[in-house]
Amino acid sequence: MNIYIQYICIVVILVFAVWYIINLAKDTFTSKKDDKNCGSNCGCK
Amino acid sequence: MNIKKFEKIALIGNPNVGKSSLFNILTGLNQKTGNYPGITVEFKSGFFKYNNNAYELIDLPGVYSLFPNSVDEEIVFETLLNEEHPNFPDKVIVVADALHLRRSLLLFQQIKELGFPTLLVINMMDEAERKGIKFDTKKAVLELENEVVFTNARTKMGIAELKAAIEKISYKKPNHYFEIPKEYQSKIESMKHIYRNLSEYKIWLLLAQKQSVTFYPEITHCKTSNKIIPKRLQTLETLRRYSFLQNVIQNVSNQEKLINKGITNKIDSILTHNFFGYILFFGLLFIIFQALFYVAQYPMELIESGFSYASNFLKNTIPEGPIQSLLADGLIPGIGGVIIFIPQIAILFTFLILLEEIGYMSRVVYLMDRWLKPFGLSGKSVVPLISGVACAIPAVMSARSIENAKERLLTILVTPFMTCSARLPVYALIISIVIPKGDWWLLNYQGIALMGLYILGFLMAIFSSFILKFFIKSQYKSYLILDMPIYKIPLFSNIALGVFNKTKDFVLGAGKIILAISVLLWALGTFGPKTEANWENNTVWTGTKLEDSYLGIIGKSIEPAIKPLGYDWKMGIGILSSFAAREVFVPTMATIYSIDSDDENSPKLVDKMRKEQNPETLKPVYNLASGVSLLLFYAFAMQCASTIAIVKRETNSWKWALFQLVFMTGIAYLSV
Repeated sequence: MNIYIQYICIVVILVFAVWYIINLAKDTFTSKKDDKNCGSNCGCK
Repeated sequence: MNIKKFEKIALIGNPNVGKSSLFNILTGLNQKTGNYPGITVEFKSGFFKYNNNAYELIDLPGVYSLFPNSVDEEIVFETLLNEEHPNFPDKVIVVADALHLRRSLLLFQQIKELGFPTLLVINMMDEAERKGIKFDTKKAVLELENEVVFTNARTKMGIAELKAAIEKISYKKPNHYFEIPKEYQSKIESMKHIYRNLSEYKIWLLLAQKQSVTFYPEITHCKTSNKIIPKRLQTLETLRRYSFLQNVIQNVSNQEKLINKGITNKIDSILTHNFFGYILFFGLLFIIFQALFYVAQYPMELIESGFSYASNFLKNTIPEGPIQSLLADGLIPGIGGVIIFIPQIAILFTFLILLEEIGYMSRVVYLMDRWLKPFGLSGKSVVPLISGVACAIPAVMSARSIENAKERLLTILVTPFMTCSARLPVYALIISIVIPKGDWWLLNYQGIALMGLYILGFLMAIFSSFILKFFIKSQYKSYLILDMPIYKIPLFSNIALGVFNKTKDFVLGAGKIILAISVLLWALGTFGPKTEANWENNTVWTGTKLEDSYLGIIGKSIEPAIKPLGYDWKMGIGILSSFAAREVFVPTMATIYSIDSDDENSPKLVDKMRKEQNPETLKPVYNLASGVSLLLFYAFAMQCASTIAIVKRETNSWKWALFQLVFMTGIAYLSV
């Protein structure tokens, strides 16, 4: 296989791997708790 | 096929009533697991069809009532009371244990009075029949004012009737409402102005909660301003319901006269004996660990050989170049590092689920309570500690069944000291390099070292708990209330499904991150600032030497910090990468040594690492001192990003997650 095509494939895989790791870290450490249960007349805001 | 209707049905019941068995029978392999939003409590849901109707069945954690004492009980409460909850059901199936009908019916009545269309399933009829317990079906329907189905999950008796009854579940308003005590009626009436849509009973139930109810925030304010003591409300309701249910049960069955635990009592006299109970428990642990190491080694060797063959096969078939290198030196060793765990994980979970299915785990909790109390832990801490041998993540989650907040926090903080399965390959690799082969009597040196590390992990966990208990305050006195289920013959399908799900979670969970890190490590270890110089005639690429690669540059830059510990830069990279997850260490070393190796005849990682020499002293890098130091570091350090995240979510605080990271890694650094 042409060396340049090989390089393009590797860049794509690498970008995907880095994107995946960053997303995973973001998902792991970002709190998903929201405050939508806190209504405007409930005195919690 | 046209689907006529789709309904969400919650499956609820006391612990150990066969709820999960019914869930497995109804949904088969059509299941998925997930987490409740905002917290890491696992839930299972599954799908099934009947008569052109589709149903989603949600298996909720086992509870005794709607007065929660632990996080998973709070989940059930919130699912049923918060209409905004994503799992808020259309209908509810309450599974009752034919042998302990009274406490099951308490839960049934509460759910029914919330206004849900409810079906009562009385399960474990085989056990009831064996004890001579009989039910009058017609009377049961009349007295409980509800449809009742009798099942036996073990033999699948009543399943067809259950499916047919699910289709017809409807709400029938019961005559026997729980009457709100007079002294609280005016207070509840005034609160109806705020919550117009809530029934009186729902408001009563919200007021009876010890914890603050986040989805109805003003209830907490009302509780304080009306000086309501939740415990008093709970006691009042429980006593009134039990007094009513006593008569119902007497009318519908002969259970009260006949109940006798017979064989269970006889077995308990041995298994919970003050002396023989412990002997049998530790004997059982010994058998589990023996199986874990001896039985697992054969499939593990087979997997390792398979991946080694695959790597060589790719090297021989794909032309030399970066793609060949990525596959043979990066991806294949990386994937192999995950797959090799499967036999050990599967064996461990087979034992753990088997013991749970039989009903033995509750006895272990009872046995260990008195020994763990002085260290600030509870008997219920045994479950997370034992589960921690597999993985700290589900283990930390399982601590939610501990009612006392202090004991729960201590358990969460010390459980990651237990030797998890991710540490196992690290230990196995280092031990096989630095500990000589040989026997002392019949005991293998390497085996003794491995067992010593497991004991060290446990001792450090209880020692840390002993120290930390003086710094963590508790508002409540601790007590142990346990349900001792009767002993049962385990269902093979439950064990198989449990082991399959746990193994799948591990492989898919850890596998993806390991795969991504392997690609990254391979790229960093293969390319460097001088890569361009490695082109021959601009067509053939020969790769970069590891020490000249970006990985080499990173490793050399951290070398001064780790050199005093006796580590070289390759070990430094291994340690650095395993802060994401410990299990990354072995694939990292496999990738590093695979990239760096010119020796085609020595494919095993152990041999490559054993041959590694310090370029200055020409002595082996992996000697007894550096090996023991590395083992101690891995035994104590908190190197698992997922565990940190779980601890944060379970404690709802970054304070404890960061404290744990600093505490454990500090101990690890000081110990080496």
